This record gives sequence, structure tokens and C-alpha cells, in this order.
Amino acid sequence: MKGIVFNIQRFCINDGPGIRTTVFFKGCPLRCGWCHNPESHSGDIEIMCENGKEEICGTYMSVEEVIAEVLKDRVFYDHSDGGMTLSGGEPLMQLDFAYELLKQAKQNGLHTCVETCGFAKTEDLLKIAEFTDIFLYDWKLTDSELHERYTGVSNRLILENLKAMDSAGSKIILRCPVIPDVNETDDHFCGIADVANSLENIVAVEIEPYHSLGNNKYKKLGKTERIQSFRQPTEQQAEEWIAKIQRQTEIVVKKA
Amino acid sequence: MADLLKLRELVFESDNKACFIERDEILGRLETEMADYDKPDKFAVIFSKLLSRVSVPINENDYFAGRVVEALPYEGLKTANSLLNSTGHLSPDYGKVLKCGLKGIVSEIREIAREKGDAESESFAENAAVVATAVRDYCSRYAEEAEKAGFSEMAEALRTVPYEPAYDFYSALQGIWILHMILSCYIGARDYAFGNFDKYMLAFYEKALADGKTEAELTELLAGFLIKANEICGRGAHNYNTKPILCQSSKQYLNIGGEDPNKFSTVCLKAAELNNMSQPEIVVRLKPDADAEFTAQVFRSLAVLTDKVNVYNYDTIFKCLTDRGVHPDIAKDFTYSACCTFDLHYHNPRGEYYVPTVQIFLEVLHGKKYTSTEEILKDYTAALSEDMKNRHWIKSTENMRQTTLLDSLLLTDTAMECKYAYDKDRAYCLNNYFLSGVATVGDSLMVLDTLVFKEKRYSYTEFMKILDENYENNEELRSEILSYERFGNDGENDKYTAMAGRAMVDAVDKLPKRDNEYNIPGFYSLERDNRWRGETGASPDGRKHGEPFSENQSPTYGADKNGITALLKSVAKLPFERTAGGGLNLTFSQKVSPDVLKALVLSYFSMGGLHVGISVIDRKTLEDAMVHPEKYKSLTVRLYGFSEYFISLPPWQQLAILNRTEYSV
Repeated sequence: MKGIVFNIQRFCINDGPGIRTTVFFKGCPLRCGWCHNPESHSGDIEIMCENGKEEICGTYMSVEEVIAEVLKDRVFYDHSDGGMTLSGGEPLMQLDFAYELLKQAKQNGLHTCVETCGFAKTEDLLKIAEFTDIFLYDWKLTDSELHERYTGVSNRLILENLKAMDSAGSKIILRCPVIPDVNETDDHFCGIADVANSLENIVAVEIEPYHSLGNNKYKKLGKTERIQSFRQPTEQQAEEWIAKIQRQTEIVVKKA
Repeated sequence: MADLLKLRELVFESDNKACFIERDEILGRLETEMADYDKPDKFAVIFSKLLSRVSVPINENDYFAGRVVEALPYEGLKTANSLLNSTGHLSPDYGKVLKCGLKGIVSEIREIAREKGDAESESFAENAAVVATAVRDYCSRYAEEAEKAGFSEMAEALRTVPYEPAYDFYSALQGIWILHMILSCYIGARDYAFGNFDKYMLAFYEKALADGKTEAELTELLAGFLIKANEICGRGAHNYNTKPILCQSSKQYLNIGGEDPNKFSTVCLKAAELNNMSQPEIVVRLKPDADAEFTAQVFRSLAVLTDKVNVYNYDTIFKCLTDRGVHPDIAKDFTYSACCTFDLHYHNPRGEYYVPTVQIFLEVLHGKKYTSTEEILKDYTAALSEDMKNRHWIKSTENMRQTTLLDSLLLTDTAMECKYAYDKDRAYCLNNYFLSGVATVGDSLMVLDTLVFKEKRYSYTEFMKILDENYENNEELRSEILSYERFGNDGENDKYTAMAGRAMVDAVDKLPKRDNEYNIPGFYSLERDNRWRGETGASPDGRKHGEPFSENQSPTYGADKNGITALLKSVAKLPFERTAGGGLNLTFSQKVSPDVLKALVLSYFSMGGLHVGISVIDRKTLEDAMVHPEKYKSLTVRLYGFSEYFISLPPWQQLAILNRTEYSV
């Protein structure tokens, strides 16, 4: 079995606990305007081009190949309670590949995280939960209409799935991208706290302040029409957001 | 009123061209006065006269007495007077000084000299007494000055220490400082080290707590002591804008941790954080299973102090030493007294030799037509051994015995045999053999194996000709070579550098040695990776004549492309279990959390890694500092084996720092 990934990044320290290796899946059902990994949107191999230099984006790899790469840093996981994180893109777009990777990672004694937008079949999420220690679950916009406008899909299924995962006992870190002029509102911050408070298994809320790294990648992909400009928040603004949400919940709120 | 911030400002405001002229003027006069004096106590008398004539300044913000008056050099003053002159780079037995006082040490020496009964021993004991008395009288003068300035605790301490034993925390620090300053500035040399400071200071710290002092008070006092290490060396680098003062850029190493870190070990780290200045360098000898509280503090401090703290793997070094026959009781107290230069605390003076490893490698390659890497390595080991044998360091230091009387007194093992520090038959002769460019040699072997021995695309003679022509008209081949996966990427090709490392260490082990001699290898280049580049022709790894070779234990510049975890896994493949010196410097472009640093370092140590030092700095800041040095007075980076003010470095060294791989988080 092979899956398509566009990067395997060692020494990730913001994708779950400890030092981790993150496997980036290619293919995503959402089209968030602020996405910093636009090369993950398409599930096919693409060419990225900069200054006339071409670079192939995406490789088909077997589960064994990915696991071999991930296991290279085992010693660092052991000393930091780290492990493997599946991200993307959306790992659930390649369900069988993701499932098999997680299974083999567990067989090798690794801690596992899956970063997901939650827009997937409920049973698929529940299936991979068997081998997933922590979900990094995105909660982008509380207002369903705005969610659809900015990501291309409603948040209804995402919220249902989140509740289903919670009921099934999955440990979840709620990951909230905050984009000035989009979701930097008191209503949304209140919404984040409400969602977190209403569930049993949220271990943390993580805020991801917007950054514009995706713009250059859109250029390399020749998709300049997709570039949307948002304001870059300051460190201090991010701290204020965190404080606002923290006031409304006992669950720890921090920067991702 | 003692004030840390003001003392700190004074250091940053000090003029790096100013120097300790007074010493040189007095020594100049003494040279004439003492020209016809030829009794065996000549240098003890010179030392004594010098100490009786130098001024004894105290700054109103000082916690402790002991500083020198600096002035801008006048025309004609070129080099420091070397009538008294040591090479420094050793750890005096300050612990024994605190316990017995110089008086106690001298009386022990006298007794031994009496027992031995020979003239040489008697003379050694006489010299020791003159030197100790000179220190006592100098301190008395300082005590008077302190009294006048209204510093009564300081005055009281100076009437006692270091001639008599220390009686409390304050007097212990005062006693160490005054001796340390005399060694560094009056005898004149660089890099005297504080040895296992947390160990010999613990009892004084505990007593102070019991007497009602708080941890915060004692931490501040200790910071007031540590800041003095910056006062005597300024912010200049020894190899740039040099000034006529022997202790310029003196790196002073304070060792903590080891077998049994204590609660004072963490206080040392906290005091260093209060100052956050480049001196003294804090060397942590970390046992991977050390006390959790101590370990946590080490990495908290590393995150804050970055290049000013560095961490050695205690277990690896202890094993290396005991494997080489050092008694475990002595081995467990090993310390660092200079840039990645290892020693046995106060048991020995430094011995070191920088082996021209890359030059010898190229000579070997050009010596005959090889058909395999194994064959090359065999000849390489033999050639290295031959070079080391012929340039034994002891030969060059024997003449120093007479001018280094105070040093000799404080290396107590040797002193108790009535021998001078640099005598050939002293208790321990410890020789550091520094091996540079290991990755340059390793990658070169990889390229030869690939292109010549395996793929046979070039004959051996053809390839050597390409090197002789410095890759001229062979740029395409050179680009191809530079695209190969080199050392530092956690790949198969690391094996070549590991082999090169073993061949180098084997060469040290082949050296003939006497019973009191210990030859310890270390992968360390200091600045040889750059200094020797002009005399080192093109190498098979794609390096052209004149380009630097790999620094310390690092890959060649820009070779590591798979991130920091891959790098650490690669470097851990070097045969560190047979080394005790040298170091690995890592550059991060952003702040790193204590937890991540801890995980990286402990993972690396669990794979056999020896040492980690870090810089946290990004390229943009460094580039700006090169253009606007005035804005970056306190900016430090890790250079080779120590912390250095970036703006004090020569341009070529600033560029070398810029060329290092930066790891982002």
C-alpha cells in the first residue's frame, strides 16, 4: 500500500508533545483562505517552480518507507515523550494509508498524533482513533456560514465528529487558527471556550496565529489568484487572544 | 555600595585598547634591578617585589577586592613583559587553599622538603614560602585600602585569606578571587580555571545558610564574584586588536556537576544568569541520570545563557579516563581549564598539541597509489603517530619551571613532591591531542571510495592530478562531489568520518608513553580549521586550496541538510568513548525551550555524544552587527570552545560564524 506525502519533517516541536516527526499527507477537502500549506490541497503530484528551478512536490511512499524514516529519531522521542504526527493536507483523505501507518507506529511503541480538519466520515475518524493517542483537531470558525465562506464547507459535520470523538474517549487538542479580520472576534473566542468546555476529553486549546508563509508557496505552484492577504498579528496580540479565551475556560490555552 | 548592574556597565564601557601598564613598568625596572641577582630565589623575589609595588584599587561598586588599573598604551609599549610568565590554562587547587591557607600548604611542603633533604627540594620550599608571604603582604595592603574605603567585611577577609584558611562564604570567595587575579594578571597568562567550584564551595555555602543568609543574598554575592572574571579580560579576542596584556581574552572556566551535583551547583547557574556575561564559562559535567532538579536547572540556564554554558557527558569521559589507566578517584574530578581542553583538576598543568590532521592526510594521499580506503587509513594512522611523536609538547615547556612559582604551589600534587608544575617527572603528565577536520578527512575518503575505488571513473593518479590542479577545469566534477550526501545527514556515508575518527584516535594510542603520562585525544580544531587553510591544498571532498576545513566535531560548512536530529545522530558516530576533549557547537536561529534542549542533549549523550554548546542567533542579527557593532556590545556567540563577544572577532572569524548551519525550531 502506498500513500502520497509531500514532506516528512524531523524535529517538529509544535505538533503534539515532545520532539516529533510529522508526516505531511497530500490532499485536503478544505480550501482555507489562510492555508500555509497550499501544496497539500491537491492529492496529486505537482511541480513547484521558483527562479526557474523546478521541484517535485509529492511522493508515493509505502507504509514501511515512512515508518523507517520516522523511526530514525526514536531516541529523541524516548527522551521527550514525542513521537509521530500525521498532518497535511488531511490524513483522513487517505484513510487506509493513515490507519496502517498509525497501526505500525503503535506496533513500534511510538506515541501518535493526527492533525485533522475533522471533515471526514465519522466512522473513519473513529477507526483511526484506535491507534491515535492525541488528535490535533481544528476548530476554525464558530459561525457555520462564515466557516463555509472561508473554508469551502460548513462546520456542522466537523462539530458532530468532534462530539463523537469526544464521546468515544479520544484525547483532543483543539487547534484554532486565528486570522485577523476573519475570526479574531469575541464571539469566536467565546465559541472556542464553549466547545472546549462542553466536551470531556479536550486536553488543551492551542492558538495558531496567522502567518503568510503560504503566499510564496502559491506563487511557486502558479496559483497566485488564490493568494489572500491578511494582517500579520503581533506577538502581543496573540497573547491577548490567549488571555481572552483562557478567562472563559479552565482548560489550558496556549500558543501552538 | 556593591552594585551588579553598575559593575556590568563598567565592563561594557571599558576600553579594549587599555591595558595593565603598571605591571610592565614595574617588571621593566625589576629587570634592570635584578639583572645581576642569580640566587635560586630570583623569581620569587621578583614576584615579591612586583606585588609590593602594584597599586590596590577598589571600585565603590565592588563586592570583592582585586582589580587592576588599566591605561591606554603609550607609543613604544608593544608586548607584555615576560620576566614572569606562565602559560596558564590550569585549575589551581583553590579547595585546598580555602581549607589550609597558603600558610598550611607551605608548611606541608617544608616538611616534605626536610624529609627529602636535597637542595632542590629545599629551594622549592623556600621559594614557596617567599611567594606565599608576598601574597599575604599584598592582601594586607589591600585590607588597609578596603578599610579606608569603608568596606569592613572586605578588609577583615583580606587580613586573613588566602594566607590563612577561609572562615566563611564571603572570605572564601575573596580568597579565591585575589589569588586568581594575581595568577592571571601579575604572573600573566590566560585561562586559569576555577576547577570543581561547586564541590569545594559547598561547605561554605551551607554554613552561610545555617547562619541565616538567604539563597538570594548568596546568589547575588556569588554574581559579584563571577563578574570579576570579566573585569580582568575585557571584551577583546586574543587574536584581534591585541593589547599588551597577557590575560587579555582570558577564558575562565568554572566547573559544576559531575558525580554528585549539590544544591550549590544550581546556585552557580542562577548567579551566572544574574550577570549573563561571557565570563566565567560555566562547564557542566552532566551525568545523564543526575539529580532531576539539577538537570532541570542546567537546561533552564542553557536556554537563557546559551553560549555561556556548555555541557559535557560525564559518563563518557569518566570511562575514557579510567580505560586509559587514570585512577577512578582522580578521574571523577576531571575538569576543563581551557577551550574544550580537559585536565585532571589540580593534578596537572595543561599539555596540548594541535595535530595537522588534514595536511598529513593529503601528504599520505600523495605518497603512493592507493587501491582502498583501508590501505589509506593504515598509513594515515602511522603518519599521524609519527608527527605527534616528533613534536612532543613537554620539550617546549620545561624552561618555564622557574617563572611559574605560584602556579607550582597551587598544583598541590606536584608541589607536595617539591616539584615545579612543568617538571617532567611530576605526578601527572596529561597531553591533549587535538584532532581537527575529521569531517573533511571523512568526506574525502567517501569521495575517493566512490569515484576512484568503486566506480573507477578516475584512476588514482588522475584524481590526484585534479587535486594538484585545485579542481581547475573540473568545476562540474566538483559540483557533483559537493552534491553527495556528506557527513552530518544521518546517512550511510557517515561511516567514512567515523573511520577517519578512529584512525586519528588510533594514532594517539600508538604513541610511546611513560608511566605518569596520559595521552588523551579530542576532536577539536580551535581556529586551525581556518588558520591552516592557506597551507592546505585541495582535498578530495571538493574543498579547494585555501578553503576552511570542518570545524571541531561538525560537518563541513553547509553539508548537513537533514536537521538537527540527523546531525546529532551523525556526530554521535565518532569514537567519543576514546576521547575526553573537544566539542560540538550548535547554532539555533530562535530561542529553544529548556525541555527541547534537554531532550536533544540527553538523546545525544545516550548515543555516546560528548559535548554540546549552543548559540542562539540569526543571520540577520549577525550581519547587522558587522555593520553596526556599536549596537551589539553584549552580543555573544559560541566560538570553538568558549563564549565570545561577536563584535570583538576579526572579520574572517565573524564570517565563519555566519557560515554555520542554523537550526530553526
